[in-house]
Amino acid sequence: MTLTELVNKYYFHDSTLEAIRFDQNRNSLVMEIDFCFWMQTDYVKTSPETGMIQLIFNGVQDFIGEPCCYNDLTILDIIVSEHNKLTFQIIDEDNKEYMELTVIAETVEFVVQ
Amino acid sequence: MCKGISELYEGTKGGSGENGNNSSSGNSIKEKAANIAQSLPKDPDKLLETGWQETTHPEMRDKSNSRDFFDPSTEITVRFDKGKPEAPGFRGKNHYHIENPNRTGKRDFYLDKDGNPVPKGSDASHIIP
Repeated sequence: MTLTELVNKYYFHDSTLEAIRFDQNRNSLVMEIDFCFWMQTDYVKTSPETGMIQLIFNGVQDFIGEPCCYNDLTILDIIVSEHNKLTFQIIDEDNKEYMELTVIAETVEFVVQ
Repeated sequence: MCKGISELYEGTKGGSGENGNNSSSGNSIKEKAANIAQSLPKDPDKLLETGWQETTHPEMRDKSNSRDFFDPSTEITVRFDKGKPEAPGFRGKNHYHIENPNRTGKRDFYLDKDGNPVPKGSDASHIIP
C-alpha cells in the first residue's frame, strides 16, 4: 500500500517502536512495532489489545533519523507529506527526549507477526 | 541524505526506573494516582493552576499534540495527548497517561484510573478526563 493509505487505515498513536532494520540488498526498511490493535476501528474486543507488527518499507529512497538504538519508543503520531514521505513523531519517555524519524519510500506493507 | 543506517539497530528490552516493592510507598502511589485520575481536567492548562509544572520537551511542544506535566507534591508525571478533531472512535478523544514512578519496564509503565500498574499501549493506560 502507499504511505498515505497506511496512515488513513491505521492509527499508530501510543504504539511503541521496538526496532529498525535496513536491508540494503532489497532496498527496504523494516520497523518492528508493538501495535495498539484496540485503537483500530475494526478491533474485535475478544482479540489481543496489543501485538507485534512489522512495517516493511520498499523502494526506500531515504531515511532521516538519529543513528541510535530504537527500543520501546512511544509513537505520538505519523504524518504523511508528499505522497511518499512519512514522519514518525516519537518520544523516549524514560529520558524525556522527543525525536522524529522520516522514511521516504514507494510502498509499505503492514504485517502482523 | 541517508545517515548511514545500514546495520541492524535492535535495542535490548530491559527495565528502567525503580522496583516498586515497598508496600507502603506502593499503596501511597496507588492512592495518589487514583486521586489524580479522578481530577484530571479536560483542559490541561488547568493543571498549572493547581501547582503542576509543565515539563514538555520544547520540540515536542512545538511539533506534537502532546504535553507533559509534573506534580511536585506527589512527584507524579502525566502526559496529555490531544485527540484528532472529527476523528472516529478513540482517535478523537483527548486523554492522559499517568506514569508509574515505580515502573520496572514497559509492562508496568503507566498507572490506570485506580492507580494499578498497566502496560504501555494498553486501553487501561488511557484516562479520559
